[in-house]
Amino acid sequence: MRVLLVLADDPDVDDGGLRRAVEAALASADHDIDVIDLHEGDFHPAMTTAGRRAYHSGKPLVEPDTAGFGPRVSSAEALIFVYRATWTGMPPRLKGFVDRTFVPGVGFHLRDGKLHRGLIGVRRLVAIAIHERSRSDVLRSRDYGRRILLRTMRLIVNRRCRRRYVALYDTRPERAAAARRRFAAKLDRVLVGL
Amino acid sequence: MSTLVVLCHPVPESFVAAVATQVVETLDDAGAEPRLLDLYAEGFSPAAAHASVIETHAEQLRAAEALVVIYPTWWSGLPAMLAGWLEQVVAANSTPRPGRPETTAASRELLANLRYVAAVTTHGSSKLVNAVQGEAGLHFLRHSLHPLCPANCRLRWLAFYDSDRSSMADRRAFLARIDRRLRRLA
Repeated sequence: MRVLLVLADDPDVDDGGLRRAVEAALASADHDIDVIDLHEGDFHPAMTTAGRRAYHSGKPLVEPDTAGFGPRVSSAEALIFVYRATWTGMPPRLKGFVDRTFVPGVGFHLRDGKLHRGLIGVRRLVAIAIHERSRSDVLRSRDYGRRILLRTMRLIVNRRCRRRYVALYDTRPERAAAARRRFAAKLDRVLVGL
Repeated sequence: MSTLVVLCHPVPESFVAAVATQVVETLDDAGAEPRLLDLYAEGFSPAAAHASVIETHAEQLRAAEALVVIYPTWWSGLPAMLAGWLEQVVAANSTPRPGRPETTAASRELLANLRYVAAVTTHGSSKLVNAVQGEAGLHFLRHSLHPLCPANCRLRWLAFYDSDRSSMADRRAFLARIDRRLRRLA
């Protein structure tokens, strides 16, 4: 399966342990992997003025940092997002990737103001998140990241797209051992069996 | 009474910018001393703002008795710029780190003077599509930001749906609605 892996976790935290685990699991299966690392190069998180002006123009992704994303997103069969949840629920950098990449002509098409799916080749959506908060706190705040990546995005991918959420909650060291093992097992299961 | 008005839109001639002009005019007229903070005009960095900028904005928020955020809803949530502002200014000292649980004391202290929070936002698609998509922005404000505000602080949601198909008359009607609702709040 052609996988587009979007890395939004900070590589300096935990020595990049999360992304290494994800990459190792994907490598053990026979997937064709393309990686977009949002912490690498000069990716600008916020939608820019030029980007917004080009939004409805039919020729989007006019800036150098996003120009290559269009074909990479369109040719993917699986989209995998990797991040550590922040207070708002997902890192602004990742929200910026979503805002700036899934624009008309790439993520969807607008005809007479109606939304039409743009990524019908995408059959798998996976969000992999580490939360510092407990699961009940995350549920109470309605998990913004999961809502956007797995629910809102549903309207632009293939109708039969399978969605998976792999999350680790409450990372305090004394609580984490068993939960970490379950998280690692699910990560393997989901990524190998895409 | 002073009001901090945070505007987040990259295009100065957009409808959202016109909304901000209306908000400032209404609040000014109602004597609510609006202070406009235009994140794009300031060149705010959503991922790595300078410590002095964060401190200045935090001071403005601490002094405010009301907060109005004006933004376009993108992918059912807040634009990355506004999310980055909230992360760095409101949650800065409360953010959980690996091995350190979340503390909300610093954020609560910052929001302690607020009498109301109002979100004024535009949605490209209809209310139905947004309901299906999950209204992540509304849920964030209601379940993450609002609980950190004082108990008597109100939350108001002023949303303009279906802006991709809106007419001039619809937009004027929305500006009039903002005027009425904010006057009642101020």
